[in-house]
Amino acid sequence: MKELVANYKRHKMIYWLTLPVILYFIVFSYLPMAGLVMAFQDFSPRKGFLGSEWVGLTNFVEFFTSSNFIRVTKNTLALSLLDLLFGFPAPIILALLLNEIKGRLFKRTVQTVSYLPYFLSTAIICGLIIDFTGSSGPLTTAIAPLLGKSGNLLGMPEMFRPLFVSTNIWQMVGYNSIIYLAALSRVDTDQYEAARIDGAGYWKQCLHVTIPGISSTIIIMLILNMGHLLTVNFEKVLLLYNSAIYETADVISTYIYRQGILNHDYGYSTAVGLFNSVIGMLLIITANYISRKYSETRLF
Amino acid sequence: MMSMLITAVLATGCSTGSGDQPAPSNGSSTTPTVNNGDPAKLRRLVPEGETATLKVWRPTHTSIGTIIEKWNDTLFNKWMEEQTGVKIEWVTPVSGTEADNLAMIVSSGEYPDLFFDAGGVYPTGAYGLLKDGVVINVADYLDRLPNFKKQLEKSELRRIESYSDNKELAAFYRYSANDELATTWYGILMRKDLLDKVNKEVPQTYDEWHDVLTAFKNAGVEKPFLLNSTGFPKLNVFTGGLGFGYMNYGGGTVPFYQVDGKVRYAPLEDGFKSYLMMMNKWYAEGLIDSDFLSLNSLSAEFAAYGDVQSGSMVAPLSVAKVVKQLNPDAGLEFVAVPHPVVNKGDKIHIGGSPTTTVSAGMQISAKTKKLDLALQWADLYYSEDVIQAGNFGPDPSYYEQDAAGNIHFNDNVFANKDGFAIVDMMTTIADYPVITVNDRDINDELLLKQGQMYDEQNDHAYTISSKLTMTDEESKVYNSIMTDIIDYVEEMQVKYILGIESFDNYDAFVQHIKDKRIAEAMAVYQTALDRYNAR
Repeated sequence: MKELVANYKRHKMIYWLTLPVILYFIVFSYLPMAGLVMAFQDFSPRKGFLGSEWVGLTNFVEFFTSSNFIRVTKNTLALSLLDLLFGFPAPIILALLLNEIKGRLFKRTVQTVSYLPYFLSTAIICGLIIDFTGSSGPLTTAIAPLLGKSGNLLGMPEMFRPLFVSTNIWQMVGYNSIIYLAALSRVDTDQYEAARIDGAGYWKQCLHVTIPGISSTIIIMLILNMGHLLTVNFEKVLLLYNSAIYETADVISTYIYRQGILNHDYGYSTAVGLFNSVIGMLLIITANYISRKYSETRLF
Repeated sequence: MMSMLITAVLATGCSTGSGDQPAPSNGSSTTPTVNNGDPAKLRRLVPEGETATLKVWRPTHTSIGTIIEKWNDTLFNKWMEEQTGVKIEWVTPVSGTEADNLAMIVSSGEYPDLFFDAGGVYPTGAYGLLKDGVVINVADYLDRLPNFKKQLEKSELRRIESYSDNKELAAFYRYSANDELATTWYGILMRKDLLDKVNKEVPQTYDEWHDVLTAFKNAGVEKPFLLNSTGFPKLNVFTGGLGFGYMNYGGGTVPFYQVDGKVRYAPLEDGFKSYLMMMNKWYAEGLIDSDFLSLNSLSAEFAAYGDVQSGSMVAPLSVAKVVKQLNPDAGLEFVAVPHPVVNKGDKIHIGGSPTTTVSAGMQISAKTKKLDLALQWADLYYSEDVIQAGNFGPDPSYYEQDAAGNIHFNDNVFANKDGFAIVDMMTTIADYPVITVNDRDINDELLLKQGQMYDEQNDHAYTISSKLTMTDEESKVYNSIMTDIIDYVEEMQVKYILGIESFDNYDAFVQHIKDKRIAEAMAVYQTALDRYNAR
């Protein structure tokens, strides 16, 4: 307590600056957590929190034993892991490449062009995708010789995951590379000199100076991404999927969405949301623990 | 210091929930009413010089924000306020948020005095609002409602459709004049110019359809037949000839149909399989739009309707005119095609729109402090003067009366100089008829004739009334079983059409549905249907 007061006296302005942010999280993130009680109730908006029947873990059991539980969980994990596997290194590679470009005009142009898709809304992106993958769409005709078949790409279950992940990368790679570019600019140029004097070529420099230099940023970003493993971009899946490709495209959030239409089961949806959050939290804690043990970087 | 700030924020956050407290008044005794003269006639409900206000919840309309600012501005509402002296405060949620808004109001416990058309928005319908204690049982007050009582008791049909199994009335129901169904506005449109090009007649049977579509394809049309993203046309149009009723996409979501009072589920019947096999064949031959999976929104559908490459579609009949107006140079001509049947001369037993002449209208809140006023005001809607004004508006410059006494809107509405949509124009004049004169919004002879063609083929014998109600236990069983089954069938039906799933496994598919306890859900539904039939 004494330390806190002393710290406050020294950094008064910082505390005051953070105050609105803290209040925001308390009011919009922590207080609403009280609503999680819905997950354990047979909630009816008419009866409210105090009047709805308490059912304990029934909602969770109903979810785990539902006929499509395995399929949707598998799809959710598959999409997230693929996104992590391909979508996580992409911005790093882009940042490394951009870092090497000497021509400022070219570098600026590439950066701007790569950031732009991020600012398009999901609905626009999905509209573009649906158009491009139609049976006579440009993407379909371009890929047809590689695939050996033509037709609406979004009607083929095996195409969904590649389409989803590659369009994610296209949309996010520019924006996500910003943080890595910032980290790259902080790597000590003296280290590069020292490496060159030791005879390191370009590739060795990259491996032994650049990447270790931004490793702390990479690890933090990785830990943060682990928390999202079970939440796939609901809007995008919803806009792109159709009943023909449920076996690869149906994820937990879209399945619950469909279940909810007939039932208006708020308790059920909250239970599944709670399940997602708990798993995400466990993943972050585990990732942080591993990182703490084996490197110097940690989130908390 | 921080904790004080937090408490202050919490306090503000909590107090916004209490909202506006209604002015305290003890029941109907303090609400001034005027009771001289015939209680059934249109009259002032409030003494001169005084005002009374009723708060009414009502979904919005496309005419609000375009032609008028709020519901108070319609000619009908202005006239009602003048005539009765009752001011209305409309609670109008933003379009698209009606369901959430209503849910919030219901859960907050603070209700307006009346609800208009809440039954279509509330998950369990108008009757659900009664069961949940949100609205009153109108049957308890029927003696105070001479006009409504008269209209309600005019026909057996109105009685059956309005009363619940327990003889309750959840709402002031709206009826169609003479209990006639409005002319169907949904049908099958085919490109006349393409038909002429391939020199074919309008197809009557499914086999003839196949020939015509093949001819279209050979003539270079890319999408001879537009199909819905679910694989089934909306409102059971087109499939009726195969003898089953299914999900009624675009309408309600009753997955069952009935034959002679017995509930049936289409996927268990042969007609369903023959439909899927036919669609599968057509898709493999390229007769169906190969991108039909992405037609899962209204805007996508409308874009496809106007596509020069679309040969035939299941759509609102008015689309023909609209598409022609939007593409004047494309040379598009449409003709309405009858329901296809297996053998010439067969009748259709389900499909099209609308299928009911009775719909839930006004409901009075169970917590209103102005019950007497609300009852009288709602009853006035059913008086003769108000019925006419509700259909055609209080301003005679918008309608004409012919020798037989029939009234029709005139060109001030239909060809209005501001170019507003007819429906919008109509709503700003006469927005809430409780006894609706059918087809008052159509002046297109062709549309009427086309609609009648469908109605002549169709006897609606397989339709199950939307007024069928289930008890809470029945609903629980039904929902828990059917959500899963409906989801499963919807997935499989598209796969069968696309050919991803082979018909060799069809029996396993049917068995799977049975394993998911469809029989229990159908039994529960049958009990509800039997109760309905006993009304």
